[in-house]
Amino acid sequence: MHRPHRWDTPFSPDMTEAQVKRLLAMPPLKALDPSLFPPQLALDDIIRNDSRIVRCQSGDIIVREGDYGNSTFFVLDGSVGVVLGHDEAAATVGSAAASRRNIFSSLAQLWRNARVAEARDVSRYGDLSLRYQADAVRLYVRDLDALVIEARFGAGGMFGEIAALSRTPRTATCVALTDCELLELRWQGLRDIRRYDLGFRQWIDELYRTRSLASHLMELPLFANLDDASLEHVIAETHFETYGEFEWFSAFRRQIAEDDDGQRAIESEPTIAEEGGYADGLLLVRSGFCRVSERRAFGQRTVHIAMKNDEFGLSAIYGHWQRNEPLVYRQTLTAIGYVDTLRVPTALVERYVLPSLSEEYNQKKAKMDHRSARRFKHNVTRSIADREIQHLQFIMSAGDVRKPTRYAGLEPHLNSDLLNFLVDRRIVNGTATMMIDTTRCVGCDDCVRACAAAHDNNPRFVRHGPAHGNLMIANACMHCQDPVCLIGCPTGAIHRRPGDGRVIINDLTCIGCGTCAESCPYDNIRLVEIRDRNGAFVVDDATNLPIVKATKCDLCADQLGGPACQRACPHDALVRMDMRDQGALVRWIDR
Amino acid sequence: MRTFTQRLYGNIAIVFVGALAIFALNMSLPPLVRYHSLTGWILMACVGFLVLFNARKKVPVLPLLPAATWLQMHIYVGLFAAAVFAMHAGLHYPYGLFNQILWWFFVALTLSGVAGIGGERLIAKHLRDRGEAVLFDRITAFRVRLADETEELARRSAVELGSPLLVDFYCGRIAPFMAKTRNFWRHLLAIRTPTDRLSRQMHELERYLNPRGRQTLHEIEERVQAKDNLDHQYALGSVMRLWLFLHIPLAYGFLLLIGVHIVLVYAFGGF
Repeated sequence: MHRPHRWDTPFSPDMTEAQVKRLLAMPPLKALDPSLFPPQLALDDIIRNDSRIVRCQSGDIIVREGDYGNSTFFVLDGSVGVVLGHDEAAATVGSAAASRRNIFSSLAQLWRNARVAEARDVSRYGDLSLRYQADAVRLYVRDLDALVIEARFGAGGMFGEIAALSRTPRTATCVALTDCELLELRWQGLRDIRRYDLGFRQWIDELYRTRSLASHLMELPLFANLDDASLEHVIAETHFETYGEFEWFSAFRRQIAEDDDGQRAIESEPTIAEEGGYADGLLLVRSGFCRVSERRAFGQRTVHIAMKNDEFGLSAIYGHWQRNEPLVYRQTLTAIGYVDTLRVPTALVERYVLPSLSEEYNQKKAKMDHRSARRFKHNVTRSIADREIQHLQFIMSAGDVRKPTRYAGLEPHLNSDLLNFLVDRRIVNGTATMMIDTTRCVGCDDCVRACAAAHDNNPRFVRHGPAHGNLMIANACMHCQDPVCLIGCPTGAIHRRPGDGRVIINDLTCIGCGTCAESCPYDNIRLVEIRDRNGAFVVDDATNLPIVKATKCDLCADQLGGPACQRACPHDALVRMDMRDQGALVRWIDR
Repeated sequence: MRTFTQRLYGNIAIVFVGALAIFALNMSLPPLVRYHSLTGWILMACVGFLVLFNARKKVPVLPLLPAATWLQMHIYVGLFAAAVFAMHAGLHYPYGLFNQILWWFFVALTLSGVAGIGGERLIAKHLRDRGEAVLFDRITAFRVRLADETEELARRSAVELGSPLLVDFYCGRIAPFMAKTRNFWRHLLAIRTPTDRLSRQMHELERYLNPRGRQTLHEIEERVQAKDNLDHQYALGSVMRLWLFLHIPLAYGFLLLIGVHIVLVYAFGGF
């Protein structure tokens, strides 16, 4: 076989020269200037290889809120509607099921799996029809009239860019209102066009900012009681801000290599709001994660991790509004990695948000008490919205609040040392971090063997990594909230799986360039030399060098029962932990 | 989430109640059935279940219960089996060579199981106490790397210092220490005398060296310490593996003997 290249497997094998010409003559692609693109990355090549034409019937769901997607859509013909919130008609449609083995194929692995490590069925690599399809199953809404359409896009419109650019779940559901023709551009192509065409970049960034702002405010409970006019005023005055580098992994790698102490790590983080500084607005984290710290002698002590939908500064504004206290932030907020925030001016918070919260406070409190009691009982993770309400309850009920970002008495807390470790090492990024309790681990390696049994006889992690006290973070893919490994992949082989957001590598389209392994800040991706079923190394016909593929933990996506490592640990020493749920982490540590 | 302590008390209570129930049921039966049938078959079922744990570990890709749950069941069914065995065999040393062999197998199996539970807890603690945890299979590679680095330091010192003092010390004391795993039993018994002695000798050597030589000596000392930690981990890891080689063959052997026992009982026991 020959060594694979970026566009060996185009997004659609059906894209023709004529179609590319037609697309480049239509808005908004018409506005692009092909002369700005380098010869090796020509605009028509990008369109030919990184896009595909999607035809939908009226009622088809194109993207769904909460799903992960790696592409953006341009409307070529027809009309598309945006449905915000959990619209029942859209929510009742089932999602595409992840492909899993059944019990018989699970059992068959015992004798069917190759005896050598990393063996592949090489004949599959040449078959273009086997490429990963994000939209393998088209869902549709039976009763279009039942939907509340928030916005419409006609020909020339664009949607889906928020999730594609920020590596976040889709923020709205988009439904075809008529039969329509769309151009789907995968994010690698979107990235390259943004890079070379400044006009396109400004246009798309403005769309991103405007839509992100509107949709984010509308989904927050803090703004739930505002009338349309007030909300519009707030939206108009709110500032969209970004902090840190989009490709933050290089600086982070340097920091780790220098064995940086925590204090230097904090100093290198961009400051969003400073303790003692004038509280000019309520800050809302749109994406990414932030460190909330307090001054302690000559350093900073981490007290909280702010993540998506968390707010900062409400207590300061509330104190000023209610008791005329000085309008200053009581803690420092710094960006870890790349962070999008919204800054709602203090005057608007005092004028619209706080009065509306007072009226609804008792109702929310009763609702929260009931829900949290039920969820605690069943050990179910509370949603971010619940935390917002809890936080609100805490602020509104406690007259002498000084440290409002602590949900004191409401949620278990990590100690400051552990928080510092998790934040300094950016382990907070993980949604399935492999944690090992070293007081229970006896080094039996059952987890490693189980992983190898589930993955081509080669474990997808190393039982080794940074440690803090009794807690070791093993070198296993954490399935990050902000998966920077996706940034450079030229083929989209590494992607977030729609539905559950797991970061998966499609072995068929991986060209083994190693970009993802270079980008992963945690060294959790490895390149392996593959073999055929007879155990012989697969080599490039031209160079005679071995063909390599990127591999990493996929949380046993195709296995029944979930991650084999966790299930194989007889000592209860290993867990895959979602770092967004700090309560679960505390309960696991204290078990 | 239940804490380990809650789980421990809960499981012990279940085993105790279960054993009591079997005891009461057994006592209500006629003597012949009491001693040969009910408890015997319960014991057989328990041993069969206990052996399944190892089978579960061999097929990690199947959607069976987590291994941690299996281990918990393994421990408490094992304790329950011990109680049933006491009812079945009586609280006395059995008559006849075959029954005595069977008895010794069960006692050895039970004791090795109990030792395994305690040993795992202790080993986990001691592994954590000494240096960074490394994979058992990589210990040899790390040891060789440390030995090479130490030799290079010693070689370089001969050129830089212009004195054979450090090289002589390396050849006489350090090179043999770095060459292979040392002090296996002392590591198991937590005796640190040999390493402390080596460390003391290095400190004594320090006064005869210039600043550059001291710097080299400190670098060698770091590697000696790291190698000692590897030896520690190797000793404890080896025990874990050796323990499995004891417990598992005993279990299979016992299962085989039980089969023979059942055949003998039904062939010559008058049933």
